[in-house]
Amino acid sequence: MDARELGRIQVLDPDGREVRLGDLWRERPVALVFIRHFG
Amino acid sequence: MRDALDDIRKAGAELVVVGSGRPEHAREFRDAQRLRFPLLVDPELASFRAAGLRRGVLSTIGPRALGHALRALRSGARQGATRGDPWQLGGALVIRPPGEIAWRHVSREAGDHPPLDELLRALRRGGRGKNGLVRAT
Repeated sequence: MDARELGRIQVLDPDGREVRLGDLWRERPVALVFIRHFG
Repeated sequence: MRDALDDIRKAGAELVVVGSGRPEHAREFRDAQRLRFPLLVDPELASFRAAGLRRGVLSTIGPRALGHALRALRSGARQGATRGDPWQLGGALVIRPPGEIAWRHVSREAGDHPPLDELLRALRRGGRGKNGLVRAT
């Protein structure tokens, strides 16, 4: 199971800037937690 | 999740949380909670789908979800106003460079949160073990 497709996806940071998900685990492991809502 | 942050960092990893909704929601939540880890949003839910997470009315409000909600209420938890897609369920992945998914939890219903002890074990483990299985129905 690999994260290639997931890694290509762009999401947004709190300032609205694009972040490519794959960049998050390029250098070190990540615990990527998806949540339904804030609060 | 915040308590696990130190354990996650000691394991040489980072915690990143992705929500649904808009950047301003993330900004307000981050500032109100003074979060010390990255908080991102995916309004289109493309990453949720690519991660194999679930979405659905019955999964969110069915009998198992009710069980989780009752237990949470008894322990004092209260949910604030909801923003983002209410029917999208969450989950968690441990991903190692260059892109190996070492562990995944797919929430089956609302309240089915990723077990942090399993997540930490997956982070500390070098390779894949029996906990590399996906938990989903």
